[in-house]
Parts: sequence; structure tokens; C-alpha cells
Amino acid sequence: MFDQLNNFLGWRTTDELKEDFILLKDGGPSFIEAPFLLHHFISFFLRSGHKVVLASLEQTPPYYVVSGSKIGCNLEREISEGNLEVVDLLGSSLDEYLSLNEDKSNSSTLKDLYQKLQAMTWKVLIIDDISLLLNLGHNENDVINFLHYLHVLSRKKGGCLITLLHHTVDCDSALYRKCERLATLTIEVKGLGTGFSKDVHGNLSAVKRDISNNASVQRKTSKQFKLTDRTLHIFAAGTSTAVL
Amino acid sequence: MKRTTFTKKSGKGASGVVIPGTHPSLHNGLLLVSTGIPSLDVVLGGGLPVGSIMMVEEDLFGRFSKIILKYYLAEGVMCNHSLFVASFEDKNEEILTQLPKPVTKDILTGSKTDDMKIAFRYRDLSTATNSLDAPPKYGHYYDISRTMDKIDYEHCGITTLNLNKLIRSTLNKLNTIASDIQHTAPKSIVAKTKLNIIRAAIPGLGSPLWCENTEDNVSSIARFLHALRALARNSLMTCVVTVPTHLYTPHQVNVIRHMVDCSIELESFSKEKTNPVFSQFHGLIRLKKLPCLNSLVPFIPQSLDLGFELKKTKFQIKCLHLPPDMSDGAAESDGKTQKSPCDSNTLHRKLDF
Repeated sequence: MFDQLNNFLGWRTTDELKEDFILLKDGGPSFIEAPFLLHHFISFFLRSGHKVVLASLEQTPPYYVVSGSKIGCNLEREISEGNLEVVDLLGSSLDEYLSLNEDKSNSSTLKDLYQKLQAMTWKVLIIDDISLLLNLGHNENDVINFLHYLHVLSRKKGGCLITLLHHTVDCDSALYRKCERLATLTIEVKGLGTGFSKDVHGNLSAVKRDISNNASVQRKTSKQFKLTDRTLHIFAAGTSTAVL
Repeated sequence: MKRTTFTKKSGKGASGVVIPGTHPSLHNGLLLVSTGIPSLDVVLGGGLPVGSIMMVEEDLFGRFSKIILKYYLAEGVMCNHSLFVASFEDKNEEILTQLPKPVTKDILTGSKTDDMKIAFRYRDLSTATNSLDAPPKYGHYYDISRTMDKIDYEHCGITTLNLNKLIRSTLNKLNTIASDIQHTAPKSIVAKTKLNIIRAAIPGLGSPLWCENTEDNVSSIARFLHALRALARNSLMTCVVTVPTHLYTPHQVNVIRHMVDCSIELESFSKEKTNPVFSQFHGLIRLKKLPCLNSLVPFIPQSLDLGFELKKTKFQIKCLHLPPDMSDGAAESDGKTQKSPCDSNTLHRKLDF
């Protein structure tokens, strides 16, 4: 859990679950992209005491365990206690790939996945990441429907849905716009316009949207950040320790 | 939970299993293998992590990407790893006959500089070099003009695959090799088991021999790489694929890049069109994605502007720099009358410190 990020968002672990749909997105290709935020949210929600389910397409479970231990969260213990459940979709995709003779219809795999997630009990569902479903060849409409069903499901449970949009998803695509529309909190990680720098890894900005009152959108000022192996440093633009 | 991505326990005692040809990373707890090119290992932070896939984005004619792949396989022979090559070439064994021969250590250690009498304080410091030369504790240097003989690589377990139909058969074959007991990442360290690494090399993935560059095929390549990633993470395998990305649109290249862990782009120079600034390089290397397994931040090398030069005994990656500026004012006289140096016309030319 990154403390500075909590301060930036104005969150505390004792708070109630306010957000409905958290969207993490990349502003463009860079060496350091949005996935590091996922580890923060995993440990934050576990620390707050909610049940978390992580559907991982991008990496295998040990990756999350090791990265979680770097920011001070013992995920192995959480799994054994039942607070965290990891659905290893990457591993099962290998079996699916090898066993298929021809491509079976992709929408049925999404349906199976939805039913599997529906059967589990959770408060927070994290999907890593939804843009990967598009890259793997699923129909965009199927992915949008899948997301919509999950959103309705999480609203019913009074929980929260977190997902990540990689920069390969076009800004004009229907999935991108749907995610932006649904999100109550959008955090964007963008590299510097002038190229990669070792001291300032990029810009971090957050947009909060109030669902009860559709017109109310609150933007946080964009800050710059530097990610080290253990922590995230957030500072106002131009006040990096390398510059001062 | 089983630790399928193999991280080496920091045990110096007998409980640590040592896999030949691997070494632990200095930055995180990962196990690394050498890519066969020591300066590339320096750029990647020590080497390629076990369980990752590296993509080499081919240059225009694929010359240097093929050479990089040969170095990778030659390193596997030197370290006794199992090799796997899948390509559309008719005779896969040909790539094996073209592996460069390793250079013996004597040629490498250059003559020591004479004992310095005046600047003796600098005697122990290494000479300033621009190239990323790590003392190759873990890698080898290869002589590209000589090839390995068959006896050199016979001892390795080598599997080749000629692909005529689907990409799927590659993964099937690789899966059967990976499920062999010596290649699976162990759940717990047992001192007795002999473990080994598989080095998989897939040249020309996505080239016109495989498929046309349509959207459907891009997603089938992406699916293949996704399943390959799952296989690599669950076994002791590293994989290098070369993809001719210049045939695809930038968006499609982004999609393929998303599926691999590490990506470098090669741009080679042709003799006629080279910018004179790059006269000593054979091409440029651009890092597009750096491996970030088991950590939040990838290892970022000192300099991101890199060029490479292929010498007989070294594939050298150097930081980009301008060639020394030889002023050409000394050559011209051209029959012009000698003017005094303080004359305003000649001031900038004659007074050159």
C-alpha cells in the first residue's frame, strides 16, 4: 500500500467502500505503466478488511504475491485465511489453447467466466486486465457486455470493481468510452511528454465522478510520481528531489 | 501457494539447487540467464529472467536479429541447456550448423598497459570505455567468423520443429518438453533433482511465411504468445522470438508487444544511406519494453540511447555518441593569401584551440 497515494486520493483504510468502479488507464507506452497501481489496491482493500477476488490474465499468481510482499502485504497469508482469492486465467489459457482443435466461439468462454465469478463471494473484484480480452480476439461487444454484467453484479453486492485499460485500447473505441462512463474514479498514469526520465517516471491524475449527481465531476490536480521498488513518491509537478 | 516463477532462495548451503548457466539477479530475487551477448546482459540488468519472453523486433532484412538468435542458442550450448527451435526453414538443423564458436579467454585479455610512472594513481582504474562491457563472469564471447562443430553441440538436448501448419503444434511440442521433470519449476527445493533450462527460439514469428498481416492473425499471434507466457512462467524456460514488426501497423505492434515481457527494436544501417554521425555503428537498438517480473519497477539501464557494432569476436552494444570532431580547418589553404589572425573574416577559422 502506498501511503502517498492514499493521501493523494484522500482515502483511509477505515473508510467505507465508496467507489463503485475504479478504472486505471495508461496514457501511452512507457517503461512504467499503470499495473503497479493494482498492487496498491489489492493491499489497500485487504487492509480495510474486504474480501477480494483477483482475476488475473496478465500475470501468474506468484507475481502478485512477490510484488505484494514488497509493499508490505502478505498475500499468501491472506489467501490461506480466505480473504483473497486468485483466479488464474493465464494458466488456464494454456490448457485451453492446447486442447482446442479449432477456435471455439469466444463468447462462451466469457460467459463461463462470468458464471464462475458470480458463484464466488466477494466485495471487491479486480480484473487484470480487461483490454487483454480484446487483444486475445474476443469481440468488442462481448467484452462490453461482460463488463456490464460484472458491474451490475458488483452493484448488487454493494462492492467495487477495479480494472485496467492498457494503452493498446484506442481512445475512440466503444470499450474505452464505456469504461470512462461507468467509472466513479479514474486514475491515469502517463509518461512525460519529453521522454523517459529516471527521476520523474510520469504524471498521475485522478478524476472522481459522483454517480448520484451525474454532472458533478471532480478532478484532482495532476502530480508527478517516481516509483521505486518499495514505495511510490508523489510530488507536485516540478518539485522532484532531483530538480530541487 | 506454489512458487511457480522460480526465484532462487538465497541459500549458500546445500539446500540451494544450482541450475547450470544461471545466476541470481543483483536487483531482485530472480534467476537470470545470459543472452549470449554480454553487453545486452548489462542493458537488461544482468540477463534475461527465467520465465520471460523476449521479442527482438527485426530490422529491415532480419540480418542482425538472426545473429542475435544464434548467439542466444550458442550460449545455450555452452551452458548445456536444452534448446528448442521452431521455424519454417526446411532444414532446421542449418541454424545449428551456423552457431558461432566461442572465443577462448586468452584472446580477450588485451595487453596490460605499461606500468605508469607518473600517473600511478590511475593504474588500478579501468580504462574508460564507452561500451557496456561487463567482465563476462556469466556470458561468453563468440567468434562470428567461425562456427561450432557438431561435436560441440551434440551433448545438448536439441529439438527442432518444422512448422507447416498451425502455430499450435509449436506450443504442443514445447509443452511436452517442458513437462519433462528436469524442466518444471519445482514447488519446493529438493537438493537431488537435476534441473535444466529450456531455451526456446522462434525466428520470424509473424513473418509472411507464418501468416498474412491481418487483424485476425495478429490476435492469433497474441493468443499464441499469451499461452507461451503461461508455459514459460510455469517451467524453467526462456524464450526469444523475432518478429518483423515493420510489416505491421503501430497499433498491431503495440498489441504484440503487450504480450511479451521484454522487447528491443533493431534498426540496421545500409552502407549508402548512413548518417555520417553513426559511422562506427552497424545499427541502433531501441528498448521498447523492459522485463518487470516479480517487481514493481523494471531495471533501467544507465543510458537508453544504444547502438550496436558487430565485430568478429564481439557483438558490442555501446551508448550512442558522436564521432570525434576532426576539425577540417587545418587542411585548407587553397592558395588564399595569408591574412592576419585578427582579421574579422578569418578569426573563426584560424584561432582554433
